[in-house]
Amino acid sequence: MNLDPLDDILDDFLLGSISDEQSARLQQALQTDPAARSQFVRSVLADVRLRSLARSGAVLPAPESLPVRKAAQWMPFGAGGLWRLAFAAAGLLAAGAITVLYVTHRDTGTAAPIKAPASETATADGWIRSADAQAGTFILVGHEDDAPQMRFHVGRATGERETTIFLENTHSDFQTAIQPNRLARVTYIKTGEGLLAQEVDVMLPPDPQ
Amino acid sequence: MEPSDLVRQFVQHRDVLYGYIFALTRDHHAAEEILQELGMSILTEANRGTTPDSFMAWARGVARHRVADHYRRLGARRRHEARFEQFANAVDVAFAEQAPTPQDNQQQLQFLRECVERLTLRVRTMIDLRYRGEKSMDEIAAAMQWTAGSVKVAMSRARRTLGECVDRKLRSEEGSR
Repeated sequence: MNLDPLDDILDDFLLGSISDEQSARLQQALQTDPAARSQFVRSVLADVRLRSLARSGAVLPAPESLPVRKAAQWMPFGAGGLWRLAFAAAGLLAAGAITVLYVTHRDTGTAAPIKAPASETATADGWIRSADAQAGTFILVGHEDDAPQMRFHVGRATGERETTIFLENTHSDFQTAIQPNRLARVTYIKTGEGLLAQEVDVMLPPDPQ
Repeated sequence: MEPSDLVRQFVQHRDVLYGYIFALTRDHHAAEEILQELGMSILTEANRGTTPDSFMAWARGVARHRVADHYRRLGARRRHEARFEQFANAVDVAFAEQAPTPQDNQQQLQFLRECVERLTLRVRTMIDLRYRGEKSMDEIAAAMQWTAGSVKVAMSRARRTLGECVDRKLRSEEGSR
């Protein structure tokens, strides 16, 4: 809960929902209190800057601009330790998968090659629009109505690494985690068959506070 | 001040002028339109050879006239004229005292960009819906499966978190000088 009355008034001011009474109090504060004038200008300009960043796509990149970050670049932001832990787990799994493929290939000569080099790894954030557990595919979109869709498949074919799926930072499976109207971050590579999800982090819709 | 300086100064200060206009209108669409009108007015004055002593004080004055024109077009100004004048005076004093330089404004924008990247995906989604998607609180609430009240609280917290983050970076920057 916001305990500072001026903060409350400024929040409503910026949301365009300020009441006449709040407006009168704001005006009085601006006329009499230099600290209030400073806070007012800082709040207004911060709001303008935030809008400017959002409109440039810097707050939440739209799918059409993806891939926007390689794995090493998106590690530092987000939910901090949990994301890093997930990334480290993905790295270990990738190393394990490469080792298994190498051993398999050496012994039998039948394993398929990894379908894309690790350097093509990218991430995409968005909403899950639809999911087909049987086919192992799902569609991710940005929040805009006209945002293009990105169709991913999970690793099932021979030689493909099995996709690691997290639901709220806990290991999960396709059917449980990948459902419409959930937020997801997908780490993927491009292959001849499309976009292969290597890791999917799904967030449940938050509980109303 | 040379006449051509007017246009250069407008370009340099346009973000702060936009903030000033937005403070008077609380309407981003109106503020964008009025900023364009302000740009045209400044271009006209530059061609006339106008050379104000203080660009920002002069530009705020021109902007304020354009805002008054905006309210007149809406037919709302007459009813709220006295209140608008008083509020505009207070806002004018605030911006005269507190407006950052273009360099400081750019630095704060960069710091804000860095701070936004530290927010959770949920919060960034909410901000994106609000500022890029131009969704209302109710629309954001529906999209996020929150209540409108929760969105308002979360938005307030996000603004505060970002403000504190930018302040920390500014203090750190000042300390390293």
